[in-house]
Order: sequence, then structure tokens, then C-alpha cells
Amino acid sequence: MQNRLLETFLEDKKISNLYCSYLENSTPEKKELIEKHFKIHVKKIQILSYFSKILYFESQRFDNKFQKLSKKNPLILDKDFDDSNTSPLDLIKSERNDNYFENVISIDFRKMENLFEDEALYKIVSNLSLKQKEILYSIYVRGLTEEVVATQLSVTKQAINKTKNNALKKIRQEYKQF
Amino acid sequence: MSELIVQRFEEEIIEMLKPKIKSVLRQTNPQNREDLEQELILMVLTAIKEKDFKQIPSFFELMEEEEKNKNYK
Repeated sequence: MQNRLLETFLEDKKISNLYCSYLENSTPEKKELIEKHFKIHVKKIQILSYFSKILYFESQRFDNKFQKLSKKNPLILDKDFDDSNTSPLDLIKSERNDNYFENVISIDFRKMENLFEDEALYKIVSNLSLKQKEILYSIYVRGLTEEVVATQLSVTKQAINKTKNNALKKIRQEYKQF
Repeated sequence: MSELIVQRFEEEIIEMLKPKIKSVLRQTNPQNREDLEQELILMVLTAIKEKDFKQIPSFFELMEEEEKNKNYK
């Protein structure tokens, strides 16, 4: 047998038996069955030979794709950029920056009255002392707790609370008079 | 080919190609190996369904040729 394809096909016991029985007693059904098995066999071999070559290149292409992607989108923060000494880590904002809120809310507490549209409130607040304004501003605009304000101004928490209550009381009283 | 035969055929092909796929996985780093395996199997399956391979003469035509060659010798 010279044809490799036929050789491998007839190696199968079941097929060779089928073929022998066909040679002894040929019927169209048997012929059809043999053709069908042969077709499957040929396709199998074609696919195998095709992929034994292709798979290697495909896997390389896949790897290249991933390497390119990871180069473009590095997950490592302390790795330097290609052309400079800065790493992505240097560019991340620190959350422990104490001035952070001041940057976000740009109004100076000394001009806290500018926050109000109400004319009466504007007048009352502008008459408050600097200390009172600072405390009210820290608590209500910046949203800090009394405890934090106390440590920032290095006074006791009770003092902050007292000043706050006094300021609110004053505002309330004067607002009623308008 | 009926549905069931197609499925068995596909399984057989994948089974036969498994060693090759496994060996080829070393082309990429360990994190991506599973992905690559999936990708390759998918590729094989679509190829089985869609790719047109070269038409080969039927079995009996080949057998006849074989006979001729024998006689020729």
C-alpha cells in the first residue's frame, strides 16, 4: 500500500473487516458506510495536520498580544515610565494631605458670610468674631467633628462646643430681631 | 452528519489535540495559560465547523488508483 491515507484508514480493525465483507459481498449500503467513515477519517487527519502547525503560531501571537497590552497598561505602580524616572506611584494623590479640604472649598473662613444669600444672615455672620467663624466654618462647611477642630486649634473640646453654641445662639437671637 | 456524530467527532479531535495544546501553552506566562487554552480550543472548534479543507477523492477512487499503480509496477 503506497497511499498513507488508505493505509492508516485500513489499519482500523473494524474498517478492514467492513471492507473485506464488502469485497466478498458488495452492497450499496456497505459502500456508502465505508465512504462515510473514510470522509470522517480524512477530515480528522486534515484537521490534525493543520493544527499541529497552526497552534504554535497562534499561541505565540496570543502571547505577543498580551505582552503588548501589559506594556501599555502596566499594573505595577513603582515601575518607571519608559522615558523618565517618574513612576505612576509618584503621581497618585496622597489622601493624608492636611490641606486637602482647603483646596476643595476655596472660601476663606474669614469671609464666611459670603456663603449666605440671605441679607440678614450675611450681616449677622459678618459680625461674628474670627474665632467663632473659624469654628462654625470647620464644623458645618468642612464637616469636621468638634474633636478634630479642638486638636487643630489646640483647645479643649468643651471650649469648641461652648463657642459653637454661643455663636449659634447669637445668630438665632439676632435673626429673630430682623 | 447528525448532531451526535458531529459532537463525538469534535470531542475526539480535541482529545487528540490536547497534548499539542498543552505543549504549546508554554509559549505564554503561567497567568495566561488557561486563557490561551480556551482560545485555542475555541479556534479548533470553529475551524471544524467553518473551515473548508481540500476535497479529497473518495475511498474507492483512491483504491482504484492504488490498483493501477500496482499493475503498473
